Amino acid sequence: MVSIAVQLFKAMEDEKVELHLLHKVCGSRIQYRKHCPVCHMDVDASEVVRGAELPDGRYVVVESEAAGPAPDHTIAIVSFHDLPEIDPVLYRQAYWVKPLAGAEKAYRLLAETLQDTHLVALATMALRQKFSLAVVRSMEPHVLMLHSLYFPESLREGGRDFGQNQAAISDKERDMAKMLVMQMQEPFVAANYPNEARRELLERIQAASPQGVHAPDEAVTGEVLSLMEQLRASVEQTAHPRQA
Amino acid sequence: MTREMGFVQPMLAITAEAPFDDPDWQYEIKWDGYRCQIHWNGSLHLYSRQGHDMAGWFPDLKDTGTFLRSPVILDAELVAWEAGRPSFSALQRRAAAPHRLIVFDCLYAQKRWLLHEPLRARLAILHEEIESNERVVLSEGVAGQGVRLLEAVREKGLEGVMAKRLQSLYIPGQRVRTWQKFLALTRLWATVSYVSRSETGAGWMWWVASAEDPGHFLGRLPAPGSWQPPAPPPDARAQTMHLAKPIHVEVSCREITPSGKMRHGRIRRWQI
Repeated sequence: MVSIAVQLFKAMEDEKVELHLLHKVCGSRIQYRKHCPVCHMDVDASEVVRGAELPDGRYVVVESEAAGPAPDHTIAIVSFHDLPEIDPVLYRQAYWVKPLAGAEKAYRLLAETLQDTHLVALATMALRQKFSLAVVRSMEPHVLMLHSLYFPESLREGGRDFGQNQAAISDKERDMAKMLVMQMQEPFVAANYPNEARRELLERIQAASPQGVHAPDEAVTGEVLSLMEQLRASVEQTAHPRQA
Repeated sequence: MTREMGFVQPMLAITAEAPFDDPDWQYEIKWDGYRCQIHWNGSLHLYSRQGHDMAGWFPDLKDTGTFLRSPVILDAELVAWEAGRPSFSALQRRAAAPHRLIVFDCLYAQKRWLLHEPLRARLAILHEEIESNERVVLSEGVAGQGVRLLEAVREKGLEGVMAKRLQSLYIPGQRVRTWQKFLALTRLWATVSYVSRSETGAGWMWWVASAEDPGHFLGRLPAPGSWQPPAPPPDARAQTMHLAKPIHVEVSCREITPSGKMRHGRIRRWQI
């Protein structure tokens, strides 16, 4: 059909504040080593292969080509759907889609068409050696977003029974619950939900950062004085313009 | 001198109607920190504007006394220094930034009270008594050039200028005309796409977002009294609503904190 050259950019910032393992005694970063417990030696990357465990505990080696598909880097649109048909449980990771040079027009046409039809595209793609399903949709009128999906078969079915019980609920209880829910209904305002825990962790890190532990920075007085001096100088310069 | 000299209510400044130049006035940088009255008489007290002793809050200042020669009471601004300038938000969150006491007046020194001396004389004694060091920094002003200093201060993103009449006496606890402040506020254009009812329910709050990045909220400000939603809320009980057409606002604020929020934000003007 039509091909559109695009690039993907991860849309969501990692919420995790990266923490490392340190040796409590000396404060150094812990190192991970690949160690073979049979040969009693650290193993070089060239000597490492991947294998799958068999039910009897043995392993078969899976050669690197067999471990994943050759990266195709193509996002192939398969079909178009109403967004609510695809359950949120399948969504994995969101990406901004950026058109590459020459692809702007086709990109815009697809974005606008999806916007106008209120449909989303279901696609297959290979990203980092992994096949997956994806949804391409228009996020804002002219911007495409891609969501990588789990394959539907990955859903663990066991949870479907959790709601099967015989509790009797009266109409009155239903009405009351409904009323309560309706009363608490409100427009979703993204800004109402800041990540407080992350902010607190960042503050704890800041408070523990070395300036707090060590003697105050001796350069600061110099900086204050030099700032005052700069301001005084700029006042005098404008007050007595140099003569030509 | 008595053993306990006691806290003196700090003298306060009015906000000037407009910056001015006057040869009889001294102009200094208005530092954005906590007002602090330093008492050193063998023991150190750092009194806040309300008279709370802040000495325990700032461990890096607890040895300030060793940097002072003789018993003094000094008027100062306690600042947290971050990235080459004072940061009020660093003070408020008790960040690990180094602190300095920027001294600009002297209430007691050389075994006598100086409240009834004119500022000119107090500053002369302050300069005799204090040299800038690793805890205390002597504020250096300019004479006569208030307007230009404000321009320079604004350029540097500092808070403003303190203008003081050189003849002025130190009048404890009073907001007087002989001390005036010129404020250099940050101003920026932003957008409002969401509004919510104010706590009292009487008015509306504007959710002010960055003009470049509408997802970045700078803060919530009370909507101007004259403003009404263009359309009634979808539901009479709705607490928040989205505006189909955003409002453009110019806000002024003391600073944008590191977390991206306005401090002391105010709406300067707005257009639909």
